[in-house]
Amino acid sequence: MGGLLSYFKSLFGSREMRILILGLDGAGKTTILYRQVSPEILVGEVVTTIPTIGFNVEQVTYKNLKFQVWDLGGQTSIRPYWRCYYSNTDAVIYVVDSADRDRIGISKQELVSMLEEEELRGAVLVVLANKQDLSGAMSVAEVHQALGLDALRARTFQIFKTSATKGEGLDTAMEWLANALTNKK
Amino acid sequence: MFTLLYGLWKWIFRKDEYFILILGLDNAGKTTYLEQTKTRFTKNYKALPPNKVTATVGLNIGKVDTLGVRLNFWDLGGQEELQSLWDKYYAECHAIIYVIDASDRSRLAESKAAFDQMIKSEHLIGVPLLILANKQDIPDCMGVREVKPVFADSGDLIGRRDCLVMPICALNGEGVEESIQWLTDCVLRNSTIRPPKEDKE
Repeated sequence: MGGLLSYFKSLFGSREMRILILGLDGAGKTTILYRQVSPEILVGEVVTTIPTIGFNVEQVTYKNLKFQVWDLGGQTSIRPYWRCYYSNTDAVIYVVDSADRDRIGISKQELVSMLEEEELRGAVLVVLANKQDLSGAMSVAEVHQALGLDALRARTFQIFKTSATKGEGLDTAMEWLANALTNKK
Repeated sequence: MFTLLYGLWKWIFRKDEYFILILGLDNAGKTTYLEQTKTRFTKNYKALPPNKVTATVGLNIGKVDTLGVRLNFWDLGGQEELQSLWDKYYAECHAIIYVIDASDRSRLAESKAAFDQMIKSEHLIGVPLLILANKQDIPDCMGVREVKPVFADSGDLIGRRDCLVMPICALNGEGVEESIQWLTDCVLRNSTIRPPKEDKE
C-alpha cells in the first residue's frame, strides 16, 4: 500500500529539491546560478555579478525536476554561516576557481569541513572546475587531487569542467545532477 | 541491559563489509555494469537508464548485500588523466573488477597497458581479479578466447591470485549475477589475507 501511495506521489509532482552552491569568493557561484535560472542568456554572452553578501535563492526547473537553488556568499567572514543552510540539502554544487592555484588549499579545507557535517551525509556532490577558459587552469585530475577528493569513500560525486561566464559545461553538469537526484529518490 | 540487547542485535545483523574497485578504460561500461549489479541485487532499485550514463569523472558508489556479506563498489573514471587517481583506492580494496570493451579491438592494447600499470602495484598483491569482456551483445566482438591470451601475457604480474576472464553484457545483464557470485566467493576465501572492514556503526 505504501509503495502504491509513493508511486502516485511521484506521478503528481515531487518535493522540491534543495541545492546549495558553495565555494570560495570569486569562484563563479552567482554566475552559475543565473545561468541556470535564465537559460535564455545566450551562450557566449557575459553575465556580470557583484560579490554576494548573504545569499541569492532562485527556483529552477530542469527536466520536470524543481530545484530550489541557494547561492551563498563565499568570503572568508561569511563562510561560517554556510552551515545554517545545510539541513535537508539534497545536493551541493561546489565551485572551484581552477585558475586560482594559490587558494585551492583553502578551498580544500572548506570542502573537507563541509563534508564532515552530519546533515550533508546523504547529499550528492558536484564539483565544478570553473574558469576553464582561463589559461593555466587546472585539469580535472589536478582539481581532484588538490581537493583531496580521493579521501571520499562513501559518497557519489562527479567533477565537471565549466566556464560559467561562457556558459560551457553547465548543461552536462545539471543533466548529471538531475539524473543522480532522480535515482536517489 | 539495553546496551547488552543492542550489542546482541548488532552481532546478529552484522555484515562483513568488502570493497570492490571497478576499473577499466573510459567507455568500457563500468558505470553501466554497476547500475546493472545494483538493479539485480537490490529490491525496488530504479536504475539509471543506460543512455543517461555519462563519462564518470569522480566516483560512483554502490552497496549490495549478497551471500551474507555487504559489497561496496567504487566505480572510478577511466579516462587517461584519471587513471593516475586509481592507486589511491588500492590499499583498501578487497577485489578488482577490470572491464574491457570487447567490441573495440583498436583499444585493447591501451587497455592492457593500463591493466599492467595497475596490477604492478604492491598494494594489490594477492587481491582477486575479475576481468570482464563486456559488450558481448555486439556482433563480432572479442570472446573470452580472444581476450584471455592477451591478459595471460601478464601472468607473472598476476601471480597466484584468483583470476578469471568472463564474458558479460552489462547492457542486458547477461553474466552479471554470475560474476558477482564468483567474486564474492573469492573475496571470502581471501578474507584471511584481506580481512573485511569492521562495521563502524
